[in-house]
Amino acid sequence: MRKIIAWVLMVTLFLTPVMGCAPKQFIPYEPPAVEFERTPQYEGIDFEAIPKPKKIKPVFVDENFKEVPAEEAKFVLLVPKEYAKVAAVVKLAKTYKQLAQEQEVLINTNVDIINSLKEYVALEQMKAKEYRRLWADSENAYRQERYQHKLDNAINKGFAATIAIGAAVLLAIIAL
Amino acid sequence: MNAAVVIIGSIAGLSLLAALVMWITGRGSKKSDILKAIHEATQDKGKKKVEEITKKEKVVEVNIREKEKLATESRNKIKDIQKKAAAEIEEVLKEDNLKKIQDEIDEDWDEL
Repeated sequence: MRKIIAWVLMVTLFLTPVMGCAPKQFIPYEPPAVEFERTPQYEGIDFEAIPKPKKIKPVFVDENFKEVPAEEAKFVLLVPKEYAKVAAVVKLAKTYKQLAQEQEVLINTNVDIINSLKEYVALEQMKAKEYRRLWADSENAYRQERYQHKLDNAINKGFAATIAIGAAVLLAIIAL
Repeated sequence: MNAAVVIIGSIAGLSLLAALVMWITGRGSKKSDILKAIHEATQDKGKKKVEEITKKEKVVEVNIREKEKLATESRNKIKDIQKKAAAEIEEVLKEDNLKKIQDEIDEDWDEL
């Protein structure tokens, strides 16, 4: 008899902490951290860094190639130094065209980045909605479980009380 | 003796009744298991959806980073064009050989 009592006590002592253990902790999904560096402001083109030729000084000549005022001139003569200015202007025009084209590329790249970021925001919103739905589902499951637990407790307590009262009444009747 | 048997019998009977009632009224483990299964399935489905969205985000993120590199390259290219043009214009302004000047004009004209 003592052995049985000792065994029952040991088993009870062993089971109490096991049954009292909290359920496994829920570890939520950790999304990878995403960080974008700030894009610096566009400095723009430094036009001062591109040399501009001074105004062309042509020599106005008539049909005999004699220097005359501009109003009477038939032809224009340019010394090599002045003609080089024409070449410089052509180069300048070509440069401006290249700059405009490259800026167009830069603008479109930035437009692409903006559109990608918009897409990213939309995906983040989708994810937030999904997280909210999961949260609501968990909350509802928890509420349902709590309600069922309360109901079970109430029913069990009610019947236990009824049976205890019934037993007491029965004992009283027998005793009388 | 009779009274003791009746008491013990009554207690045993009531205990059996209590156990029966609790077994009938208590929530069956099946219902609990079904609710758990539904909850877990919903959570798994949601988790998969979130992971899919995260994958899509990763693609967009890579795209953004690539575009950022392109933008930086474009900025540098613009600076290079400026520097190259400045050097070329300086050089052509110093030129006094008409043939070379004309060659420069011919070469650049087509790119206007």
